[in-house]
Amino acid sequence: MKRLILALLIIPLLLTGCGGERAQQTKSKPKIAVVISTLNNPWFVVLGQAAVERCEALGYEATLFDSQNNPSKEADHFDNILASGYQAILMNPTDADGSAVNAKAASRAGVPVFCMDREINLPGACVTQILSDNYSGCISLGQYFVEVMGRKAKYVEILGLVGDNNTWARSRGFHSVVDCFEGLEMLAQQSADFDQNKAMEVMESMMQAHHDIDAVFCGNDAMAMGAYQAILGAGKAGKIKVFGFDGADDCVNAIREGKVEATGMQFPKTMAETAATLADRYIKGERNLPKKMPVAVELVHRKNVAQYGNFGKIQD
Amino acid sequence: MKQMKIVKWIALALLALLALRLSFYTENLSEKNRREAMSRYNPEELVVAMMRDSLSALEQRALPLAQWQDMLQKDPQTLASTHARRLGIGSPLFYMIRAELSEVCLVDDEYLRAFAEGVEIRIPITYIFGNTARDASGWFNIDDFRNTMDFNAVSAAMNDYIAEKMADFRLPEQASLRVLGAVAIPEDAVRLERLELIPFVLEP
Amino acid sequence: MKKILSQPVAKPLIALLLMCIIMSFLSENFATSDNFFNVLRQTSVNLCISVGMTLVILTGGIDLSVGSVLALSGAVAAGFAQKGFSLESMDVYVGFTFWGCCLAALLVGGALGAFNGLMVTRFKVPPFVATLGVMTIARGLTMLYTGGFPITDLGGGFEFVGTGWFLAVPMPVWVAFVVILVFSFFMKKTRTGRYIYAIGGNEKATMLSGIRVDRVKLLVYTLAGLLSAVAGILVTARLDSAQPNAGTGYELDAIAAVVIGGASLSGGKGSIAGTVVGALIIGVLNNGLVLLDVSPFWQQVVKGFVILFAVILDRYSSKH
Repeated sequence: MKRLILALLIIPLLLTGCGGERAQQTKSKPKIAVVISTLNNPWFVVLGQAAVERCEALGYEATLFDSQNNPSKEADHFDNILASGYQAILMNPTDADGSAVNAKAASRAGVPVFCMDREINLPGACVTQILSDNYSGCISLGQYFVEVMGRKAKYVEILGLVGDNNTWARSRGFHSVVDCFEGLEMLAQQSADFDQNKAMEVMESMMQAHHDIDAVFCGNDAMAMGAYQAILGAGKAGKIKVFGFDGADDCVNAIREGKVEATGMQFPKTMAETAATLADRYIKGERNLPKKMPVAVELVHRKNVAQYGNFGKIQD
Repeated sequence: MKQMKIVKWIALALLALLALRLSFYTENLSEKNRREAMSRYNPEELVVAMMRDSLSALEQRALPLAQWQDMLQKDPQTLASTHARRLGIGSPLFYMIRAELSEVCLVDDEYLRAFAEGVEIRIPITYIFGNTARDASGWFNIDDFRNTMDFNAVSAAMNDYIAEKMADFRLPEQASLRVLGAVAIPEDAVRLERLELIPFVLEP
Repeated sequence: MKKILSQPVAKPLIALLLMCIIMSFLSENFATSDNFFNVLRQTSVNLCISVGMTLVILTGGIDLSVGSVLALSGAVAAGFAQKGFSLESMDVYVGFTFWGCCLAALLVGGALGAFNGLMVTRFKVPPFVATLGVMTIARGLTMLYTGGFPITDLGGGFEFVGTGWFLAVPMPVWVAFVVILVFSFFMKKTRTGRYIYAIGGNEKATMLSGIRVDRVKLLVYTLAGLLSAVAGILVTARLDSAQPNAGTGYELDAIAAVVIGGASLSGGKGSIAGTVVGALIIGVLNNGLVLLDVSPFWQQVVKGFVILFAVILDRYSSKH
């Protein structure tokens, strides 16, 4: 037993002797790490890929990491990144508080962190936070909702993942407008975890329980498409208006075809490219970068849908 | 043997008591409440302070409507670079504008409508939403706030303040008004048919 | 030399050594002191859970609830840190210290472990089923307790345990180290430790020789629950927040560590040392594959194969 303990202790010492304190800078290109909260959702895949592409266009080697919506996994990624000599981290936080520790660790180790799309509640830890204001975006959506539905209507709401900050930012933004009008009544509110299939089932159940639904507000476009499928299946297409959020391709096309009323376009490509550009400027020595850079969410509806597509404005 | 057991049990009991005592602390409830109230974020106070102290300076900075219209059509770039405020990428352009309006009418108890310089002006007085008031005033910088929700709370506070101020508003007989307000226009707009003005000052 | 090689933990240890050597050639970032501590820190949570799992597997049982118990105890620790009680009539606020939160977490973990033990011993529910039930119950309780949201803003004690260093070694590694020492001692030098092996070897015979098998089993499951709670505190401390979906899937890594370390799932064979090596192998594998930029999907495939390979090798050599 004692000999085994000794053996276990000797291996690492031998190895660290070979390795040295931190990985030496490699002869090849400088590296940037792109850590995305989840690659299970096409919107985030676009965010990550756009970041990687822009980094590579700027002359860096970029690696994509998937945090699987888990701050623990994100912490492990950060550990590995900090041990591997990356020059900067472009991060899409999994949680406003849980990810703060990771950003803090990185900035303490001298690696600049740029947050994309979501923010962390520790302003000093990131160099710049490139944010999408979901709350204000849903205020615009809510105002359009009132314009389209009038002052008297009955609607249902399908929420995203209950533990996600974005879910509540969107819902609260929407309600801060719509709840001011007493004639607009919410019949039911359920969560479908941002999943298209689940939203379809939830919508079917809600239509069974309430026969007088006029509209449905979904926390993201995937759920809006699912809800639309349910409405189509029940033969009520055109009678129940669908509202989504995100700016996903299939939803924008659905607006073009008159199936969905409106959505909020978030610009993942703009955010990713801005983050990459700022990281590049920081690495080249610029220090006076803004702490927060909001990227406006634009309302996409029937009348202006021609300008939008491919996760952004068409002329991009 | 039995004595050993008793000693063991007493020792364990003492250890348990020690662990229990080490596991909590007490403090005055009122102290704690006071301390938390002081550090709690209060956007309403911020808004009231700015409205009280900085409104006149804002009025001086504001552009008269005619001049604004003119510059928008002839040289929008200069107008934007000298007078507009923005909030990040893709943001609309925010301006503070003052105007004298006549033949104002009240619509649905929700907004005032008038025509000036060939444009329909709408002034919401009951339902005020969005970040236009906050961002056009230039009083608040996003970097000074912990997160976006705190920053948005300022908008909500401003909108509520304005709505409350307008709650007692009655349209005077002559239906002519002086207004100082905030507008938001898309970046590439050159000619507008309708303009929404969030009122900071509304007087006959 | 022969004596070392004949010890059952020798095989996994040699495998670990080989892996480390190969990795350090494949990636220049592997063999650095930073990365070495990374691997240890990342493995410390699994080490705590795996030690508990070893005890359970040695008795011929299994514990699938470790991940959920980790989450619930971590959430309770965080919840107590964030909020205490107020007694308005006496104008007093009772807050919990870091130790108080740990105590609460340990009580929760121990209680759930004991519940598992009770199901297995008193009600004769097969361990797989009993712990599966508790796994779901504990996850549901975690969701209820946290409302689906992370609990944050926990204070200095947690921060130190999660990210602090002591004598140039990260705190989570110290915690795991102490756990390993204590339980190695427990298994090798105490009577109960030997009983655990006996039960796994032949439960009937052990019972007939007068040993209170049920009592020992209850203890074993309770200890597993306690160790899950320790792991829960570590995870919460690491992130300075309790996540409702923490610990998901951790039971698989723990079982893998125990099995790679040479334990038999039918009980009686295995050791803490073996489990430690098994956990380190998984840790090195996880770390190495990420450093080599292998896609996360392939990582799953590789891990699965490693486990199968380890077990086959073990079966093959024990036949000789």
